[in-house]
Amino acid sequence: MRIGGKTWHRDLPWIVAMVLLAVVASGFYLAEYLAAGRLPGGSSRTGFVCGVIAGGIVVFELLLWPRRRVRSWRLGSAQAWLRAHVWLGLLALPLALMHARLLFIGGWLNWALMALFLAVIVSGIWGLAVQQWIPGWMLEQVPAETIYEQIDHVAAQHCREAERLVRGMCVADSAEQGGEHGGDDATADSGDHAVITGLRSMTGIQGKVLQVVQIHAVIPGTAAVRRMFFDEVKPYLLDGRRSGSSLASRATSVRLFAALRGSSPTEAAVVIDHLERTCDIRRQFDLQARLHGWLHGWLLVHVPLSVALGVLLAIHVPVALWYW
Amino acid sequence: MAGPDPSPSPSTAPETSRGHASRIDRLYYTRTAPLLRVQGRLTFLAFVAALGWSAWALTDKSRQLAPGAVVAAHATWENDCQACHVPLSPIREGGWQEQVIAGSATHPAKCEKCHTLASHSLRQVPAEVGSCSSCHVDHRGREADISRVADTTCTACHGDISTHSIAAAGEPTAVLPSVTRFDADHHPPFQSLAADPGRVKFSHGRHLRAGLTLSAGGGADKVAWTYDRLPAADRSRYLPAGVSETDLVQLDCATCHQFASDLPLDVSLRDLRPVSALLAGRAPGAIALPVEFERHCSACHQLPADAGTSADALADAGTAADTSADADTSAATRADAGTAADTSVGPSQLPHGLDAGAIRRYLETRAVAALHAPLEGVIPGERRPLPVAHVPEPPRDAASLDEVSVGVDARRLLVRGVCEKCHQVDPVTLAAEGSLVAALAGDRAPQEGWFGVGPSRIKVLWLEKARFDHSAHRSWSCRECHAGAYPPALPPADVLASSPLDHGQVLIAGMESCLGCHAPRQRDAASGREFGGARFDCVECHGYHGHGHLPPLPVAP
Repeated sequence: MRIGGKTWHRDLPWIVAMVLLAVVASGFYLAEYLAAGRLPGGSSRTGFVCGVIAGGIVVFELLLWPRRRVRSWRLGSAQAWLRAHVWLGLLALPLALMHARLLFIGGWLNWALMALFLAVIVSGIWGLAVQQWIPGWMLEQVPAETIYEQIDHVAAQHCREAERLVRGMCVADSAEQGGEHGGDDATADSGDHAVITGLRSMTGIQGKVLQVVQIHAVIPGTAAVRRMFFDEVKPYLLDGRRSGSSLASRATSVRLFAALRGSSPTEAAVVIDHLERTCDIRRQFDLQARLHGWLHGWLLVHVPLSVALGVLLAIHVPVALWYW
Repeated sequence: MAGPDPSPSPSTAPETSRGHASRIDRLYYTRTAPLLRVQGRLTFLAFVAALGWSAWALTDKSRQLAPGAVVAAHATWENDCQACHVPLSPIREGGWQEQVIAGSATHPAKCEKCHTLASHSLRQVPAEVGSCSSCHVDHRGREADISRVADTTCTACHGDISTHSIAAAGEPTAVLPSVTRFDADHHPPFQSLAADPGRVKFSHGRHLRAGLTLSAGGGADKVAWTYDRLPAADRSRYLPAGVSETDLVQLDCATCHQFASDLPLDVSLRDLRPVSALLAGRAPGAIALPVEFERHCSACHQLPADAGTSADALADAGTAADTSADADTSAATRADAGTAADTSVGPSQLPHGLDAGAIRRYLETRAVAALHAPLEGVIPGERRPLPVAHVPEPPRDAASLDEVSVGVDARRLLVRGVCEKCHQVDPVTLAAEGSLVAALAGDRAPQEGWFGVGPSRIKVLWLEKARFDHSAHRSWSCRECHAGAYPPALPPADVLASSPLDHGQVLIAGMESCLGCHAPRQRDAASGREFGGARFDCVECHGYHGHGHLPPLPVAP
């Protein structure tokens, strides 16, 4: 969730309300501390109220998961739920601390509960922080962005397009006839064109476009292009960084394709340019995958610990009421 | 050979829509993304782990559920929560759950199964009496001192005591000073030190002078005391190591103000006066034991009951008395002693602590025994002789009865003078019953001229509402807090004037002597000296329990 910008007018009331509630609760807590001479604990008036509110907030936070699973429920917009999730979660932190006597607590269950709570809060804050910067950065750095789950599928599509172009326009090395690089030209386009993916920039907006390349005849002297495609480009397009290809480095890629361009006929430039652009898109996909990991990896901590927090909270409440 | 057109151009034979559609995996959302798959597995593991931890928690309550270990005294019930807690009932009041949950209340009865304590004060507002745990918070570790409660538990009422106290039955509402902390501005002076009710004539200054004389080289009855003049049985107790027996006696505070921890191991409890319950409840070195005549005075202050006491002893008695009594009284004693000398029958010491009737019986016994002289000392070794024990056959003839009466009168004058050296003596009229002489003479009339010694009223426990431990302050000189008890550095001739009787004066310094240490650590602006730092919270000196009546002991079911 992005805070500020166009949605600032929606975040501001939450921020004001959260700060006010935290200040009011802290005021009551301070007053009770001064009156009692010791830090009020969970069973004190202020501590108990804070605990009840914080517990209710935790339950509400956990409801975000079923709310997302059942999108058909008309219980407010997802954005409103997320906004409440964020701000109420932050409000729960001071309330829980006051309930827990500012961490001067004992008992392993209490400590486990508080440790989980703090871990959930910290991971949530981390997630909120990365969501402020990474999406914008991704928009700039990954104009070829696709759906994360589609990366392998799209990369394979690009690989097929490139292979079709290479097979249609590059000379098959005689020594490689029947080999892995050219023996089977079944994928070669039998027609006079190939559809390829390109990037187009217009008035500051970048995006993928489909292009059609006409294939008239095989270009002599392009065996090296074909060889490079099968040796370097294709494994990289299919597996990205996992392939260990040197094309994962932009500098190396530029150097390799520049060398290839220099050793190939001018007519092969269209093929070489396309292969270089496709490798560039693949590198963007790699970057997107990494950014996706940063953008959503915190959920690997946040969600499981939230569930554990809910379980321990369900034990803490009756136990605290039983032996308060 | 014609080459291909190198520039891409819009297709003249574009892909079909099906071809475009195939570029997207339309069923991708039906597959779980790897990240979500890992997240789901981790979530399941976390759920199971949390359930496992919860199950463990319910079987190991002391470590898992309790906020901390209970104090060592409660460790037996460490894992038995309901030994102290009542389910769904708060252990201390003050929470709003009392108004929310019906029947919710504190349950001090669980504490009172073991702890039977007196109430705090009859003036306490009953509704404001908290539960045990409202002050004593457990689960703060084995070594926690749950009796060291926060000042606010006291100042909640004592900060504005007038609104938190009620008049006891039959008593007017007293205006009590409020207390908010221990310093000169927020704590009243020690009321227990307002006055000394003691009635024994005494001067600390004179007793602390070497030789204990009123004047240097005075008359025969004012010879300076040396250790060899003390009875042999007592000499070793007073003679310091390395001091000659011919040296002047030099007493110090510890000579009379002894602590249980100072007593030699061979002292029998029978030799000690019964110690009050207040002393018994304190540490051995906390409060000085009561000063006793037999242990602390009799070595110098003998109590002649007969003028037949040796001249030296009588002179000693007179001299020693002079150190503690007014000169006029001393003179009267010597005159009485001279009168009684005519009926001397042998040395005798009046047992200390007799009441008027017992004195009469003792003197009558001595007078009767004088007719059968020579007579051994009467009931030696007994401090409370039976009134008629070992009495010889009493006389029956009138002449002998007259002689006995004269002897009794003479001894009575002597003894009265001896008692008056130190005590305030009150005239008493005794009934004839119990008088040996009256019974023999058939006289039933009340007997005038007898006297009784009032209670000494020497305070054993000065700070009645607070604790003080002398042993904790042993690194300080006695003079730090009892400077008034020391004699001024003046010539011996001026001792009498400079060391008057001080039994009406309180010789204990007040709160100001405490504040030098029992205050926050701070620096004196004038001298730059740092002071303070010792504890000064309420419970450092005061206790909450024990100023009321004890409830009856609980009866085991």
